[in-house]
Amino acid sequence: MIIPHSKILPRKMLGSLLLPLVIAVNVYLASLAILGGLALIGATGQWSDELAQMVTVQVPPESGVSNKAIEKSLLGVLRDHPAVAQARPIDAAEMESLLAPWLGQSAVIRELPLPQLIDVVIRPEGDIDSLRKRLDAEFPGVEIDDHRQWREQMQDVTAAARLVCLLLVAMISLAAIAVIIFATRASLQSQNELVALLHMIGAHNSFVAGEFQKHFLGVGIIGVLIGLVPVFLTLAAIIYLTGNDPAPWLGRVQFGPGDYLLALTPALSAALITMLTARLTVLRTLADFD
Amino acid sequence: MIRVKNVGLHYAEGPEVLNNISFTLAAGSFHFLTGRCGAGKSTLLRMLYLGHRPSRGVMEMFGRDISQLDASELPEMRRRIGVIFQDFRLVSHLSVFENVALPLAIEGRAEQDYRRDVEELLDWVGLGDKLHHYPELLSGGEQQQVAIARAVVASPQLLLADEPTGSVDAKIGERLLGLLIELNRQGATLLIATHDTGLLERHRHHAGELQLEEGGLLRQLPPVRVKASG
Repeated sequence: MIIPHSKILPRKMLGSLLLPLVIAVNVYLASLAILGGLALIGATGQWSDELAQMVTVQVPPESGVSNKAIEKSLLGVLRDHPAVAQARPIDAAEMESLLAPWLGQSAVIRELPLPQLIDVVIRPEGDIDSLRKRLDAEFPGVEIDDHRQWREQMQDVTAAARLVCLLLVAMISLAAIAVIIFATRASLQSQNELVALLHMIGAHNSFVAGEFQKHFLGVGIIGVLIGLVPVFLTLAAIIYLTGNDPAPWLGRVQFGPGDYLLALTPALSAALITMLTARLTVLRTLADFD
Repeated sequence: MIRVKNVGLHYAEGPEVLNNISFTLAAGSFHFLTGRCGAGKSTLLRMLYLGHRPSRGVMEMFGRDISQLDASELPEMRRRIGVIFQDFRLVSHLSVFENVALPLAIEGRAEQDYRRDVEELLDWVGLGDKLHHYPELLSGGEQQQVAIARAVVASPQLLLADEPTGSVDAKIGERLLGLLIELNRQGATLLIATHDTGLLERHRHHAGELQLEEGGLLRQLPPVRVKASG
């Protein structure tokens, strides 16, 4: 790839020597922010979707519904209901293992007045309200927990993650733009005599700005190329870690082609932002030259 | 071609460094601009190459009143003026060829369109074998030749030179002046600022003179030879 450069400005200009590294770091940080945000949004979204399809039917001890009634009729009602895809009672052993982290492996658990729980998987578009009404009518005291509160919290977390991600990318972009403006002004200052000469021989401000624009486009492209190395390494690591046999905490992290493209957006836009920022900075600085 | 009437110039809120200057330069004429150090020669040249606009008075160049020009029109006017600076002002990171071609490059012309012209011009000034040299490798006289080539490459109508022989020996100085006079014969109006009285005496027979004193014009001695148009 041929990197554009000005034929009039020196290739190495004071103020823009380290700019490729700054751009590279910003490209990488912005890509990481986007990937992190996408991972969190994806994971919470997936979790929320799973919760939306799961309800827990609780039969409190004081409801008076016996284990036999549960076996005979409650499970039957659930399994026959059009909203239900699957209903599975949680047996005593499973209940003990669920409570073990808090109460330990103690015989006391069996003495506790615990509710009988039934895991119910709802069909897509299944009407939970009609199921709730049916159970209220036939089994008073039996409750349905549809995890609405959890799901609402998940949605809040997703919205917050999206906002934080956008803020991070915006702040990284603003920091990069500020550095580019500073670098452009420093470069312009370092080439003060050349710029004055160009004016004296009849150069328009747009010509001078165009030369700086070319120089900084080249600087931006070099920065992007450097920044793409850690971005691709990170993407490769994510693809490897979320591929076959992923660690449990990574099981929910899944990226599609669109996500990878979004993660590359900072790299795709950084050179353009660098070029335009430099051009506008030079034009603004030279505006009152005459 | 150039008419200056009651012109004054001051920087910011400072005192006038040029005051009540009036003169006319006919197209194709040749003048020396003389005066002691600090008389205002360089300042007047700077005003003539539109580095500064007059603070008052009227300055007409190429039929336009400079004070009435929009800033966006100045570059086109400057392209009609060739300037040879006392300190050459060559661009150190550009080769001899690139330095000379600069006025053509800023017009947006492609290099293949002007390569031959620039090479011929550098041959003419005697630097045909140093196209790809950088200024720091050239002698003072050679740098001055590059500066002259750059000033004339776009065929300017007005040629301004600030002490063009001041930093070279007498022999090279005469050769450089010969180049400028040749350009004047081809139609360019020539104004040379100098305090070299010997140079003035040698060329007085075919050059006029503008004498400056303390920022004002002491007198204008008319040119001996004036061309019809330029």
